[in-house]
Amino acid sequence: MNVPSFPFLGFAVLGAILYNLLPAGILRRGLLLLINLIFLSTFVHGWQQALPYAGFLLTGFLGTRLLMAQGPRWRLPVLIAVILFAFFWLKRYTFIPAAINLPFLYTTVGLSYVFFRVLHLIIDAGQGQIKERISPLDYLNYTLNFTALVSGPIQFYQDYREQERNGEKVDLFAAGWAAERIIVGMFKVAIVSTLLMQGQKAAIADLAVASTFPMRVLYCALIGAIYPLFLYANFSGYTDFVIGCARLFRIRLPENFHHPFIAENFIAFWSRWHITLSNWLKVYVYTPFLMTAMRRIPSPAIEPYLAVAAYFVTFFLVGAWHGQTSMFLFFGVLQGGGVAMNKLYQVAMTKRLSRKGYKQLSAEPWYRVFCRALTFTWFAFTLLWFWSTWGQLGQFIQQAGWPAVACGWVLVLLVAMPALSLLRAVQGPIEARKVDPAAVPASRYWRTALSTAMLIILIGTTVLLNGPAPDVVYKTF
Amino acid sequence: MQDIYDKLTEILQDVFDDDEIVASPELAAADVDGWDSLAHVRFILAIERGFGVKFSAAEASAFANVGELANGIAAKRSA
Repeated sequence: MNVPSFPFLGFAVLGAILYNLLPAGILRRGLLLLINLIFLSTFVHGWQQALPYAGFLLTGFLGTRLLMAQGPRWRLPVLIAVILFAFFWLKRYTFIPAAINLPFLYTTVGLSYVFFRVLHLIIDAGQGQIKERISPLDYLNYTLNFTALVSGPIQFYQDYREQERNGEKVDLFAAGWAAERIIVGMFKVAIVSTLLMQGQKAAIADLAVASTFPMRVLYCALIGAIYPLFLYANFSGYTDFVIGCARLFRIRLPENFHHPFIAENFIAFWSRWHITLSNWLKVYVYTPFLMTAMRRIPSPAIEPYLAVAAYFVTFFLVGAWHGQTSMFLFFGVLQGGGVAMNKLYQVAMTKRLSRKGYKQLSAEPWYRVFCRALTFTWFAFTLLWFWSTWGQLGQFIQQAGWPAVACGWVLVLLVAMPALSLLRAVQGPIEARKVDPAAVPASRYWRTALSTAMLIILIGTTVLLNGPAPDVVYKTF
Repeated sequence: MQDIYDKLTEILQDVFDDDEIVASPELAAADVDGWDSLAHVRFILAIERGFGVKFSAAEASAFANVGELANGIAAKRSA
Protein backbone atom coordinates (compact mmCIF):
# COMPACT_ATOMS: atom_id res chain seq x y z
CA MET A 1 0.00 0.00 0.00
CA ASN A 2 1.50 3.31 -1.10
CA VAL A 3 1.88 6.24 1.29
CA PRO A 4 0.40 8.71 0.52
CA SER A 5 -2.52 7.35 -1.48
CA PHE A 6 -6.31 7.28 -1.33
CA PRO A 7 -6.39 3.54 -0.40
CA PHE A 8 -4.04 4.25 2.52
CA LEU A 9 -6.18 7.22 3.55
CA GLY A 10 -9.32 5.07 3.48
CA PHE A 11 -7.56 2.40 5.54
CA ALA A 12 -6.34 4.99 8.07
CA VAL A 13 -9.73 6.72 8.41
CA LEU A 14 -11.56 3.42 8.91
CA GLY A 15 -8.96 2.33 11.46
CA ALA A 16 -9.18 5.69 13.25
CA ILE A 17 -12.98 5.49 13.55
CA LEU A 18 -12.78 2.04 15.16
CA TYR A 19 -9.82 3.13 17.32
CA ASN A 20 -11.65 6.14 18.70
CA LEU A 21 -14.84 4.16 19.36
CA LEU A 22 -13.02 1.73 21.64
CA PRO A 23 -12.27 2.59 25.28
CA ALA A 24 -8.64 3.44 26.13
CA GLY A 25 -6.59 0.46 27.24
CA ILE A 26 -5.76 -3.00 26.03
CA LEU A 27 -8.59 -3.17 23.45
CA ARG A 28 -7.57 0.03 21.75
CA ARG A 29 -3.88 -0.86 21.80
CA GLY A 30 -4.73 -4.35 20.50
CA LEU A 31 -6.66 -2.85 17.60
CA LEU A 32 -3.73 -0.57 16.81
CA LEU A 33 -1.43 -3.59 16.66
CA LEU A 34 -3.85 -5.31 14.30
CA ILE A 35 -3.91 -2.21 12.05
CA ASN A 36 -0.09 -2.01 12.11
CA LEU A 37 0.24 -5.69 11.20
CA ILE A 38 -2.36 -5.49 8.41
CA PHE A 39 -0.47 -2.55 6.90
CA LEU A 40 2.89 -4.36 7.15
CA SER A 41 1.36 -7.49 5.61
CA THR A 42 0.56 -5.56 2.41
CA PHE A 43 4.32 -5.55 1.72
CA VAL A 44 4.84 -9.26 2.48
CA HIS A 45 4.18 -12.13 0.09
CA GLY A 46 4.50 -15.36 2.07
CA TRP A 47 5.43 -15.91 5.71
CA GLN A 48 9.08 -16.62 4.89
CA GLN A 49 9.51 -13.03 3.64
CA ALA A 50 8.56 -11.73 7.08
CA LEU A 51 10.92 -13.93 9.11
CA PRO A 52 14.08 -11.72 8.97
CA TYR A 53 12.00 -8.65 9.89
CA ALA A 54 10.42 -10.55 12.80
CA GLY A 55 13.86 -11.76 13.92
CA PHE A 56 15.18 -8.19 13.94
CA LEU A 57 12.23 -7.00 16.01
CA LEU A 58 12.54 -9.92 18.43
CA THR A 59 16.28 -9.24 18.92
CA GLY A 60 15.49 -5.61 19.70
CA PHE A 61 12.76 -6.53 22.16
CA LEU A 62 14.80 -9.15 24.02
CA GLY A 63 17.79 -6.77 24.08
CA THR A 64 15.71 -3.95 25.53
CA ARG A 65 14.22 -6.20 28.22
CA LEU A 66 17.64 -7.63 29.06
CA LEU A 67 19.14 -4.17 29.48
CA MET A 68 16.30 -3.05 31.75
CA ALA A 69 17.28 -5.77 34.24
CA GLN A 70 20.32 -5.41 36.51
CA GLY A 71 23.52 -6.78 34.97
CA PRO A 72 27.06 -6.12 33.73
CA ARG A 73 27.78 -2.97 31.69
CA TRP A 74 29.31 -4.78 28.70
CA ARG A 75 25.84 -5.86 27.59
CA LEU A 76 25.04 -2.43 26.12
CA PRO A 77 27.96 -2.21 23.61
CA VAL A 78 27.46 -5.86 22.66
CA LEU A 79 23.75 -5.37 21.96
CA ILE A 80 24.40 -2.15 20.03
CA ALA A 81 26.88 -4.11 17.89
CA VAL A 82 24.34 -6.92 17.36
CA ILE A 83 21.63 -4.49 16.22
CA LEU A 84 24.04 -2.62 13.93
CA PHE A 85 25.26 -5.86 12.36
CA ALA A 86 21.71 -7.21 11.92
CA PHE A 87 20.68 -3.98 10.19
CA PHE A 88 23.66 -3.88 7.80
CA TRP A 89 23.24 -7.58 7.09
CA LEU A 90 19.52 -7.40 6.33
CA LYS A 91 19.99 -4.26 4.22
CA ARG A 92 22.81 -6.05 2.33
CA TYR A 93 25.40 -3.28 2.72
CA THR A 94 28.31 -3.84 0.33
CA PHE A 95 30.89 -4.31 3.12
CA ILE A 96 28.98 -7.38 4.38
CA PRO A 97 30.31 -10.50 2.55
CA ALA A 98 27.76 -11.61 -0.05
CA ALA A 99 28.33 -15.23 1.02
CA ILE A 100 26.42 -14.66 4.27
CA ASN A 101 23.43 -12.90 2.68
CA LEU A 102 20.10 -14.68 3.08
CA PRO A 103 19.38 -16.68 -0.10
CA PHE A 104 15.76 -15.57 -0.49
CA LEU A 105 13.71 -12.40 -0.96
CA TYR A 106 12.40 -10.77 2.18
CA THR A 107 10.71 -7.52 3.13
CA THR A 108 12.71 -4.58 4.48
CA VAL A 109 10.00 -1.92 4.21
CA GLY A 110 10.71 0.85 6.72
CA LEU A 111 13.52 -1.20 8.28
CA SER A 112 15.82 1.85 8.39
CA TYR A 113 13.29 3.69 10.52
CA VAL A 114 12.52 0.63 12.67
CA PHE A 115 16.30 0.38 13.20
CA PHE A 116 16.47 3.92 14.63
CA ARG A 117 13.60 3.17 17.01
CA VAL A 118 15.07 -0.16 18.17
CA LEU A 119 18.56 1.28 18.66
CA HIS A 120 17.10 4.20 20.63
CA LEU A 121 15.28 1.74 22.91
CA ILE A 122 18.43 -0.36 23.39
CA ILE A 123 20.59 2.66 24.29
CA ASP A 124 18.00 4.29 26.53
CA ALA A 125 17.25 0.99 28.31
CA GLY A 126 20.99 0.45 28.84
CA GLN A 127 21.39 3.96 30.28
CA GLY A 128 18.37 3.70 32.56
CA GLN A 129 16.32 6.23 30.59
CA ILE A 130 13.29 3.94 30.29
CA LYS A 131 11.70 3.68 33.67
CA GLU A 132 8.84 1.27 33.10
CA ARG A 133 8.77 -2.23 31.65
CA ILE A 134 7.92 -2.33 27.95
CA SER A 135 5.24 -4.86 27.03
CA PRO A 136 5.39 -6.72 23.68
CA LEU A 137 2.24 -4.83 22.66
CA ASP A 138 3.74 -1.40 23.37
CA TYR A 139 7.03 -2.39 21.72
CA LEU A 140 5.36 -3.54 18.50
CA ASN A 141 2.97 -0.59 18.34
CA TYR A 142 5.91 1.80 18.77
CA THR A 143 8.32 0.18 16.32
CA LEU A 144 5.70 -0.70 13.68
CA ASN A 145 3.48 2.39 13.98
CA PHE A 146 1.92 2.21 10.51
CA THR A 147 1.66 5.96 10.02
CA ALA A 148 5.43 6.40 10.36
CA LEU A 149 6.68 2.98 9.26
CA VAL A 150 7.65 3.67 5.65
CA SER A 151 9.71 6.86 6.00
CA GLY A 152 9.37 8.20 9.52
CA PRO A 153 9.32 10.66 11.20
CA ILE A 154 11.40 9.11 14.01
CA GLN A 155 9.61 9.57 17.31
CA PHE A 156 11.25 8.79 20.64
CA TYR A 157 9.55 6.07 22.70
CA GLN A 158 8.90 8.27 25.74
CA ASP A 159 7.12 10.82 23.55
CA TYR A 160 5.15 8.10 21.72
CA ARG A 161 4.03 6.44 24.95
CA GLU A 162 2.91 9.73 26.46
CA GLN A 163 0.88 10.50 23.33
CA GLU A 164 -0.65 7.04 23.25
CA ARG A 165 -1.71 7.32 26.89
CA ASN A 166 -2.77 10.94 27.07
CA GLY A 167 -3.28 11.84 23.42
CA GLU A 168 -5.69 14.66 22.69
CA LYS A 169 -9.20 13.60 21.72
CA VAL A 170 -10.13 13.90 18.05
CA ASP A 171 -12.80 16.60 18.02
CA LEU A 172 -14.08 18.50 15.01
CA PHE A 173 -11.22 20.99 15.18
CA ALA A 174 -8.58 18.22 15.33
CA ALA A 175 -10.24 16.37 12.45
CA GLY A 176 -10.21 19.58 10.38
CA TRP A 177 -6.56 20.19 11.22
CA ALA A 178 -5.70 16.59 10.24
CA ALA A 179 -7.69 16.84 7.00
CA GLU A 180 -5.83 20.01 6.04
CA ARG A 181 -2.41 18.38 6.64
CA ILE A 182 -3.49 15.29 4.70
CA ILE A 183 -4.73 17.28 1.68
CA VAL A 184 -1.71 19.60 1.65
CA GLY A 185 0.60 16.59 1.91
CA MET A 186 -1.06 14.68 -0.91
CA PHE A 187 -1.10 17.80 -3.08
CA LYS A 188 2.62 18.38 -2.51
CA VAL A 189 3.49 14.78 -3.42
CA ALA A 190 1.04 14.15 -6.25
CA ILE A 191 1.02 17.55 -7.94
CA VAL A 192 3.94 19.78 -6.89
CA SER A 193 6.66 17.15 -6.70
CA THR A 194 5.42 15.40 -9.86
CA LEU A 195 5.54 18.67 -11.82
CA LEU A 196 8.99 19.50 -10.48
CA MET A 197 10.28 16.04 -11.37
CA GLN A 198 8.91 16.43 -14.90
CA GLY A 199 10.61 19.84 -15.08
CA GLN A 200 13.96 18.36 -14.10
CA LYS A 201 13.57 15.48 -16.56
CA ALA A 202 12.78 17.98 -19.34
CA ALA A 203 15.89 20.02 -18.45
CA ILE A 204 18.03 16.86 -18.57
CA ALA A 205 16.62 15.98 -22.00
CA ASP A 206 17.06 19.55 -23.28
CA LEU A 207 20.69 19.69 -22.11
CA ALA A 208 21.51 16.81 -24.43
CA VAL A 209 20.42 18.84 -27.47
CA ALA A 210 21.29 22.39 -26.30
CA SER A 211 23.47 24.05 -28.91
CA THR A 212 24.35 27.41 -27.34
CA PHE A 213 26.45 28.13 -24.24
CA PRO A 214 23.77 30.23 -22.43
CA MET A 215 21.21 27.45 -22.90
CA ARG A 216 23.61 24.85 -21.52
CA VAL A 217 24.23 27.10 -18.49
CA LEU A 218 20.48 27.49 -17.99
CA TYR A 219 19.78 23.74 -18.18
CA CYS A 220 22.66 22.94 -15.81
CA ALA A 221 21.22 25.43 -13.31
CA LEU A 222 17.71 23.99 -13.69
CA ILE A 223 18.89 20.38 -13.28
CA GLY A 224 20.74 21.25 -10.07
CA ALA A 225 18.23 23.67 -8.53
CA ILE A 226 14.98 21.81 -9.21
CA TYR A 227 15.91 18.63 -7.36
CA PRO A 228 16.03 20.08 -3.80
CA LEU A 229 12.64 21.71 -4.44
CA PHE A 230 11.28 18.39 -5.70
CA LEU A 231 12.70 16.48 -2.73
CA TYR A 232 11.26 19.01 -0.29
CA ALA A 233 7.78 18.82 -1.86
CA ASN A 234 7.96 15.02 -2.00
CA PHE A 235 9.29 14.29 1.50
CA SER A 236 7.60 17.13 3.39
CA GLY A 237 4.35 16.24 1.58
CA TYR A 238 4.65 12.65 2.79
CA THR A 239 5.37 13.96 6.31
CA ASP A 240 2.36 16.31 6.27
CA PHE A 241 0.19 13.38 5.19
CA VAL A 242 1.33 10.95 7.90
CA ILE A 243 1.23 13.63 10.62
CA GLY A 244 -2.40 14.25 9.66
CA CYS A 245 -3.22 10.51 9.66
CA ALA A 246 -1.50 9.93 13.04
CA ARG A 247 -3.49 12.82 14.57
CA LEU A 248 -6.66 10.82 13.85
CA PHE A 249 -5.19 8.18 16.18
CA ARG A 250 -4.56 10.86 18.89
CA ILE A 251 -0.82 10.83 18.18
CA ARG A 252 1.16 13.95 17.36
CA LEU A 253 4.16 12.83 15.33
CA PRO A 254 7.18 15.16 15.49
CA GLU A 255 7.67 17.63 12.62
CA ASN A 256 10.39 16.80 10.10
CA PHE A 257 10.72 20.15 8.28
CA HIS A 258 10.79 23.77 9.35
CA HIS A 259 11.22 26.15 6.41
CA PRO A 260 14.64 24.65 5.52
CA PHE A 261 15.44 26.95 2.59
CA ILE A 262 15.51 30.08 4.73
CA ALA A 263 18.39 28.64 6.83
CA GLU A 264 21.42 30.94 6.77
CA ASN A 265 24.10 28.30 7.25
CA PHE A 266 24.48 24.59 6.66
CA ILE A 267 24.41 23.65 10.36
CA ALA A 268 21.14 25.55 10.77
CA PHE A 269 19.84 23.94 7.57
CA TRP A 270 20.16 20.48 9.12
CA SER A 271 18.14 21.61 12.14
CA ARG A 272 15.31 22.40 9.69
CA TRP A 273 15.57 19.49 7.20
CA HIS A 274 14.74 15.87 8.13
CA ILE A 275 14.73 17.15 11.70
CA THR A 276 13.98 13.85 13.43
CA LEU A 277 16.92 12.09 11.74
CA SER A 278 19.42 14.85 12.53
CA ASN A 279 18.03 15.10 16.06
CA TRP A 280 18.41 11.33 16.56
CA LEU A 281 22.02 11.46 15.39
CA LYS A 282 22.66 14.55 17.53
CA VAL A 283 21.49 12.66 20.64
CA TYR A 284 23.14 9.30 19.90
CA VAL A 285 26.25 10.24 17.87
CA TYR A 286 27.22 13.93 18.10
CA THR A 287 26.69 14.50 21.83
CA PRO A 288 28.28 11.22 23.09
CA PHE A 289 31.19 11.66 20.65
CA LEU A 290 31.81 15.22 21.81
CA MET A 291 31.27 14.48 25.51
CA THR A 292 33.72 11.56 25.39
CA ALA A 293 36.31 13.53 23.41
CA MET A 294 36.07 16.58 25.69
CA ARG A 295 36.35 14.43 28.81
CA ARG A 296 39.54 12.83 27.44
CA ILE A 297 41.05 16.04 26.03
CA PRO A 298 40.06 18.79 28.49
CA SER A 299 41.53 21.72 26.57
CA PRO A 300 39.42 24.82 25.77
CA ALA A 301 41.66 25.57 22.76
CA ILE A 302 41.00 22.15 21.22
CA GLU A 303 37.24 21.96 22.01
CA PRO A 304 36.00 23.79 18.87
CA TYR A 305 38.02 21.41 16.68
CA LEU A 306 36.57 18.41 18.52
CA ALA A 307 33.14 19.83 17.66
CA VAL A 308 34.23 20.09 14.00
CA ALA A 309 35.20 16.39 14.08
CA ALA A 310 31.92 15.45 15.82
CA TYR A 311 29.94 17.37 13.19
CA PHE A 312 31.80 15.64 10.38
CA VAL A 313 31.19 12.14 11.78
CA THR A 314 27.52 12.83 12.54
CA PHE A 315 26.60 14.29 9.17
CA PHE A 316 28.74 11.84 7.25
CA LEU A 317 26.51 9.18 8.83
CA VAL A 318 23.39 11.17 7.87
CA GLY A 319 24.50 11.00 4.24
CA ALA A 320 25.92 7.48 4.24
CA TRP A 321 22.76 6.08 5.89
CA HIS A 322 20.79 6.86 2.72
CA GLY A 323 22.27 4.01 0.68
CA GLN A 324 24.82 1.28 0.15
CA THR A 325 26.69 2.65 -2.90
CA SER A 326 29.79 4.85 -3.26
CA MET A 327 27.49 7.70 -4.41
CA PHE A 328 25.87 7.82 -0.98
CA LEU A 329 29.23 7.55 0.80
CA PHE A 330 30.38 10.59 -1.15
CA PHE A 331 27.05 12.30 -0.38
CA GLY A 332 27.88 11.66 3.29
CA VAL A 333 31.37 13.14 2.87
CA LEU A 334 29.81 16.28 1.38
CA GLN A 335 27.24 16.59 4.19
CA GLY A 336 29.88 16.01 6.89
CA GLY A 337 32.36 18.24 5.07
CA GLY A 338 29.74 20.99 4.71
CA VAL A 339 28.84 21.20 8.39
CA ALA A 340 32.49 20.76 9.48
CA MET A 341 33.61 23.62 7.19
CA ASN A 342 30.71 25.68 8.47
CA LYS A 343 31.83 25.14 12.07
CA LEU A 344 35.48 25.84 11.21
CA TYR A 345 34.43 29.08 9.53
CA GLN A 346 32.41 30.10 12.62
CA VAL A 347 35.41 29.37 14.87
CA ALA A 348 37.80 31.32 12.60
CA MET A 349 35.45 34.30 12.25
CA THR A 350 34.78 34.43 16.00
CA LYS A 351 38.55 34.50 16.59
CA ARG A 352 39.10 37.14 13.96
CA LEU A 353 36.16 39.47 14.67
CA SER A 354 35.33 38.50 18.31
CA ARG A 355 31.94 37.00 19.16
CA LYS A 356 30.26 40.40 19.06
CA GLY A 357 31.82 41.36 15.73
CA TYR A 358 30.84 38.07 14.09
CA LYS A 359 27.32 38.43 15.44
CA GLN A 360 27.10 41.92 13.94
CA LEU A 361 28.33 40.62 10.57
CA SER A 362 25.81 37.76 10.69
CA ALA A 363 23.01 40.30 11.19
CA GLU A 364 23.94 42.34 8.08
CA PRO A 365 21.13 41.99 5.49
CA TRP A 366 23.48 41.52 2.50
CA TYR A 367 25.42 38.84 4.39
CA ARG A 368 22.25 36.96 5.34
CA VAL A 369 20.99 37.04 1.73
CA PHE A 370 24.32 35.67 0.47
CA CYS A 371 24.60 32.97 3.17
CA ARG A 372 21.04 31.79 2.58
CA ALA A 373 21.69 31.42 -1.15
CA LEU A 374 25.05 29.72 -0.56
CA THR A 375 23.43 27.21 1.82
CA PHE A 376 20.78 26.32 -0.76
CA THR A 377 23.35 26.09 -3.56
CA TRP A 378 25.65 23.83 -1.54
CA PHE A 379 22.77 21.53 -0.61
CA ALA A 380 21.60 21.37 -4.24
CA PHE A 381 25.19 20.57 -5.30
CA THR A 382 25.55 17.75 -2.74
CA LEU A 383 22.24 16.25 -3.91
CA LEU A 384 23.84 15.42 -7.27
CA TRP A 385 25.31 12.40 -5.46
CA PHE A 386 21.89 11.59 -4.03
CA TRP A 387 19.81 11.34 -7.19
CA SER A 388 22.23 10.57 -10.00
CA THR A 389 25.04 8.10 -10.70
CA TRP A 390 28.73 8.61 -11.47
CA GLY A 391 27.97 7.70 -15.10
CA GLN A 392 25.13 10.22 -15.34
CA LEU A 393 27.31 12.96 -13.81
CA GLY A 394 30.02 12.25 -16.37
CA GLN A 395 27.42 12.46 -19.13
CA PHE A 396 26.15 15.88 -17.92
CA ILE A 397 29.69 17.23 -17.86
CA GLN A 398 30.38 15.85 -21.31
CA GLN A 399 27.18 17.38 -22.72
CA ALA A 400 27.53 20.79 -21.04
CA GLY A 401 31.30 21.21 -20.64
CA TRP A 402 33.01 22.34 -17.43
CA PRO A 403 32.57 26.12 -18.06
CA ALA A 404 28.80 25.76 -18.49
CA VAL A 405 28.58 23.55 -15.37
CA ALA A 406 30.50 26.14 -13.30
CA CYS A 407 28.44 29.03 -14.68
CA GLY A 408 25.26 27.01 -13.99
CA TRP A 409 26.07 26.84 -10.29
CA VAL A 410 26.90 30.57 -10.21
CA LEU A 411 23.50 31.17 -11.80
CA VAL A 412 21.81 29.05 -9.09
CA LEU A 413 23.56 31.14 -6.42
CA LEU A 414 22.58 34.45 -8.07
CA VAL A 415 18.92 33.51 -8.57
CA ALA A 416 18.68 31.99 -5.08
CA MET A 417 19.58 35.35 -3.49
CA PRO A 418 16.41 37.28 -4.48
CA ALA A 419 14.22 34.15 -4.59
CA LEU A 420 15.05 33.03 -1.04
CA SER A 421 14.86 36.63 0.24
CA LEU A 422 11.30 36.69 -1.04
CA LEU A 423 10.62 33.34 0.62
CA ARG A 424 12.13 34.67 3.88
CA ALA A 425 9.91 37.76 3.66
CA VAL A 426 6.84 35.49 3.50
CA GLN A 427 7.89 32.70 5.87
CA GLY A 428 9.79 34.84 8.41
CA PRO A 429 6.70 36.50 9.94
CA ILE A 430 4.87 33.14 9.96
CA GLU A 431 7.82 31.53 11.74
CA ALA A 432 8.00 34.36 14.27
CA ARG A 433 4.23 33.98 14.69
CA LYS A 434 3.76 37.62 13.76
CA VAL A 435 0.88 36.88 11.40
CA ASP A 436 -2.43 38.10 12.73
CA PRO A 437 -4.67 35.01 13.11
CA ALA A 438 -7.54 37.14 11.85
CA ALA A 439 -5.68 38.09 8.66
CA VAL A 440 -7.14 36.61 5.47
CA PRO A 441 -4.27 34.16 4.63
CA ALA A 442 -4.38 32.72 8.16
CA SER A 443 -8.16 32.58 8.51
CA ARG A 444 -9.88 29.22 8.56
CA TYR A 445 -12.23 30.28 5.73
CA TRP A 446 -9.29 30.97 3.41
CA ARG A 447 -7.52 27.77 4.47
CA THR A 448 -10.68 25.71 3.95
CA ALA A 449 -11.15 27.21 0.49
CA LEU A 450 -7.51 26.54 -0.39
CA SER A 451 -7.65 22.95 0.87
CA THR A 452 -10.88 22.35 -1.05
CA ALA A 453 -9.29 23.69 -4.24
CA MET A 454 -6.27 21.43 -3.69
CA LEU A 455 -8.54 18.44 -3.14
CA ILE A 456 -10.51 19.12 -6.34
CA ILE A 457 -7.26 19.42 -8.35
CA LEU A 458 -5.93 16.29 -6.67
CA ILE A 459 -9.01 14.17 -7.38
CA GLY A 460 -9.36 15.60 -10.89
CA THR A 461 -5.74 14.83 -11.72
CA THR A 462 -5.87 11.35 -10.20
CA VAL A 463 -9.03 10.45 -12.11
CA LEU A 464 -7.80 11.99 -15.37
CA LEU A 465 -4.36 10.41 -15.27
CA ASN A 466 -5.62 7.13 -13.83
CA GLY A 467 -2.01 6.23 -13.04
CA PRO A 468 -0.40 4.68 -9.98
CA ALA A 469 0.02 6.78 -6.83
CA PRO A 470 3.24 8.84 -6.99
CA ASP A 471 6.21 7.43 -5.11
CA VAL A 472 7.95 8.92 -2.11
CA VAL A 473 11.74 9.06 -2.55
CA TYR A 474 12.47 8.10 1.06
CA LYS A 475 10.44 4.90 0.74
CA THR A 476 13.53 3.14 -0.62
CA PHE A 477 15.78 4.01 2.35
CA MET B 1 17.23 23.81 45.52
CA GLN B 2 18.43 27.41 45.77
CA ASP B 3 22.03 26.23 46.21
CA ILE B 4 21.74 24.38 42.87
CA TYR B 5 20.52 27.54 41.12
CA ASP B 6 23.31 29.63 42.70
CA LYS B 7 25.95 27.21 41.50
CA LEU B 8 24.32 26.95 38.06
CA THR B 9 24.48 30.75 37.80
CA GLU B 10 28.21 30.61 38.51
CA ILE B 11 28.76 27.91 35.91
CA LEU B 12 26.60 29.65 33.30
CA GLN B 13 28.48 32.93 33.77
CA ASP B 14 31.81 31.13 33.45
CA VAL B 15 30.91 28.98 30.40
CA PHE B 16 29.19 31.79 28.46
CA ASP B 17 31.56 34.49 29.69
CA ASP B 18 28.66 36.73 30.71
CA ASP B 19 28.19 38.09 34.26
CA GLU B 20 24.59 39.08 33.55
CA ILE B 21 23.21 35.52 33.23
CA VAL B 22 21.16 34.31 36.18
CA ALA B 23 19.94 30.71 36.33
CA SER B 24 16.14 30.51 36.46
CA PRO B 25 13.80 27.57 35.80
CA GLU B 26 12.56 28.99 32.48
CA LEU B 27 16.00 29.92 31.11
CA ALA B 28 16.63 27.98 27.87
CA ALA B 29 19.33 27.80 25.19
CA ALA B 30 17.49 30.26 22.95
CA ASP B 31 17.72 32.94 25.67
CA VAL B 32 21.52 32.89 25.95
CA ASP B 33 23.83 34.27 23.30
CA GLY B 34 26.26 31.61 22.06
CA TRP B 35 24.43 28.61 23.53
CA ASP B 36 25.01 26.24 20.62
CA SER B 37 25.56 22.47 20.68
CA LEU B 38 29.27 22.81 21.58
CA ALA B 39 28.52 25.28 24.39
CA HIS B 40 25.80 22.92 25.62
CA VAL B 41 28.25 20.03 25.99
CA ARG B 42 30.78 22.39 27.60
CA PHE B 43 28.06 23.47 30.07
CA ILE B 44 27.04 19.88 30.88
CA LEU B 45 30.67 18.85 31.52
CA ALA B 46 31.17 21.91 33.77
CA ILE B 47 28.06 20.85 35.72
CA GLU B 48 29.44 17.31 36.05
CA ARG B 49 32.65 18.71 37.54
CA GLY B 50 30.86 21.28 39.71
CA PHE B 51 28.23 18.98 41.19
CA GLY B 52 30.11 15.67 41.07
CA VAL B 53 27.37 14.01 38.98
CA LYS B 54 27.43 12.32 35.58
CA PHE B 55 24.98 12.58 32.69
CA SER B 56 24.45 10.23 29.77
CA ALA B 57 24.31 11.77 26.29
CA ALA B 58 20.55 11.12 26.13
CA GLU B 59 20.05 12.93 29.46
CA ALA B 60 22.31 15.79 28.39
CA SER B 61 20.23 16.27 25.23
CA ALA B 62 16.84 16.00 26.94
CA PHE B 63 16.88 19.12 29.15
CA ALA B 64 14.56 21.73 27.69
CA ASN B 65 15.47 24.43 30.23
CA VAL B 66 17.50 25.12 33.36
CA GLY B 67 14.55 24.08 35.57
CA GLU B 68 14.62 20.53 34.17
CA LEU B 69 18.39 20.49 34.49
CA ALA B 70 18.22 21.57 38.16
CA ASN B 71 15.65 18.83 38.83
CA GLY B 72 17.95 16.31 37.13
CA ILE B 73 20.89 17.39 39.29
CA ALA B 74 18.78 17.19 42.46
CA ALA B 75 17.58 13.69 41.52
CA LYS B 76 21.12 12.49 40.86
CA ARG B 77 22.43 13.92 44.12
CA SER B 78 19.71 12.27 46.16
CA ALA B 79 20.09 8.88 44.39
